[in-house]
Amino acid sequence: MEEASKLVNCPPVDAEPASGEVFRCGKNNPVSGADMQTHEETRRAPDADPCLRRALSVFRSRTDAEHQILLFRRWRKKFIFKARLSPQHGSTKLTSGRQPSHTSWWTADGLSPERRAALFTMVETIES
Amino acid sequence: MSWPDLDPFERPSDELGALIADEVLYDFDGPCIFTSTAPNGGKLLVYLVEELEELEDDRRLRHLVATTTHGIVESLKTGTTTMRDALTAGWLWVCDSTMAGEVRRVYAPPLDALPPDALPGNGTMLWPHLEPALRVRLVGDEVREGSIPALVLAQVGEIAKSLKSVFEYSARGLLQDTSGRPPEWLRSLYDLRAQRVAYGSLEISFQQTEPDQELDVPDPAQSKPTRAIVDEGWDLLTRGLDWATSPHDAALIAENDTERKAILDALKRLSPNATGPVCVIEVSGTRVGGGRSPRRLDRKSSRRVRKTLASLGARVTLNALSGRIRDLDLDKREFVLREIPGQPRTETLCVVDDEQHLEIAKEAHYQELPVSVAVKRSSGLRWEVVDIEFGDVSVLDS
Repeated sequence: MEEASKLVNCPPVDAEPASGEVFRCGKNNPVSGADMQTHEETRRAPDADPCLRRALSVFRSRTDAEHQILLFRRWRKKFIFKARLSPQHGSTKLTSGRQPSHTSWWTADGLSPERRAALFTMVETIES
Repeated sequence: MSWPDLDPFERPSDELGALIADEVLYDFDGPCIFTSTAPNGGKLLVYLVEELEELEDDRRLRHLVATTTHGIVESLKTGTTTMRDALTAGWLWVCDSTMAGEVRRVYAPPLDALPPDALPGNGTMLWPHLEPALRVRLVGDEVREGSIPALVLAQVGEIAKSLKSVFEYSARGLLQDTSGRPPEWLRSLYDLRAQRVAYGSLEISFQQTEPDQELDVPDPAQSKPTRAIVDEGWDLLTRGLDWATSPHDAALIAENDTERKAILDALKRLSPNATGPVCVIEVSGTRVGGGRSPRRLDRKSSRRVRKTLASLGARVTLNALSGRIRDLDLDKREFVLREIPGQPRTETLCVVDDEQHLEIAKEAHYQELPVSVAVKRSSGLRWEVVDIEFGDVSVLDS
């Protein structure tokens, strides 16, 4: 964590203060802190971009979240959660690539995985 | 459903190499679907099945790894192959790795040993924008791979036209005469292209072409935006599907009988016939409910649709004529039928929607051949061609 905290330009300079609705899928309702950990926190993909490892993926579009549940039926089944972000929750940047509304969310310092989870409420269940 | 004991299927852990991503196809909290290269140089498709959480201090990622080709990956990207089909097209392994990406275990179980939800849902595409606007699955005892009755294909043709009535209704303010063939700009809004055909039963995925900014819409500054026409058309169809598949015998909610008839005409084309090889048509897609389960239109739904259509009491006039095609306007797809026997001065303006009918009309016009035409008129001035044949009409005496 100390090493990551030394990153410059992370979040990127073109990231914007968090705002608006975001969606994320999960297996457990209510969503848990474990479901809201960044790669840096889970030590996943150590060779990936260190700044992106500090971000959580979210969707801006509910349709993209619905598609994800059908695509990953074990990993992401079966709940869609929604949160309304505001600047105090960190910053975001559209990092769409091939998924139109994919957004990276750099959570604010001190916003623990549990507190991130508390921002989300379940809005849809999809049986796939 | 839990995983079976995979130990009997274990393979050397280096069989697939380090599974380093060559091209990431889907990224969410890291690469979830990507291509990689096997030690023998072959192309691999890697798909994240789940995070195994049995051991708190030893979380692992479980992937499916399938042999693949450049062609399959391209088909995934264009939406002509589903993710499930791509994964099951070749050899398949189950691979467990640490969160840091180090491969620990590799198994090669048979496909039928996998839990059903280890694979993506049937028909699911790689990316959301590739999901079909409308997907229909025609189900019946006689509808089997390698033995699809031709009648079923005819039904698919009808389904492809199902949006016509609701889009015409949605664009009602822009059409001077709602009878006959709709203008090209409107046709392009509800034009469905077959994106994928799959067998088992018969499943057709339709993609809708995006409305073109340069559509020749009359008075575009004043008119309803084409996006609004498209959205209203699909909303009407979705409302109709909800009604036709509802377990309750409620009335179809509509603003007026014209809207109600537009919805019912669309449903009539989408529903199975009273007899014939197809008894159920499952309907799903991004424009008719997105992620929700497919709606099942069965023969009970068909009866409900026809009964309600009949109750509207819409008047349709049918006529059978013969004569020669003297004026043919290919842009408007209209012709004037003249020299009608017994009616020397009569001219009948006919509009042609069907491509086959238009070909016959062209041939008859260029070769100066007599034709027999069955026409109908529900409203407006023009007669719509229902059928056309070479030769004089033969009228039975009653």
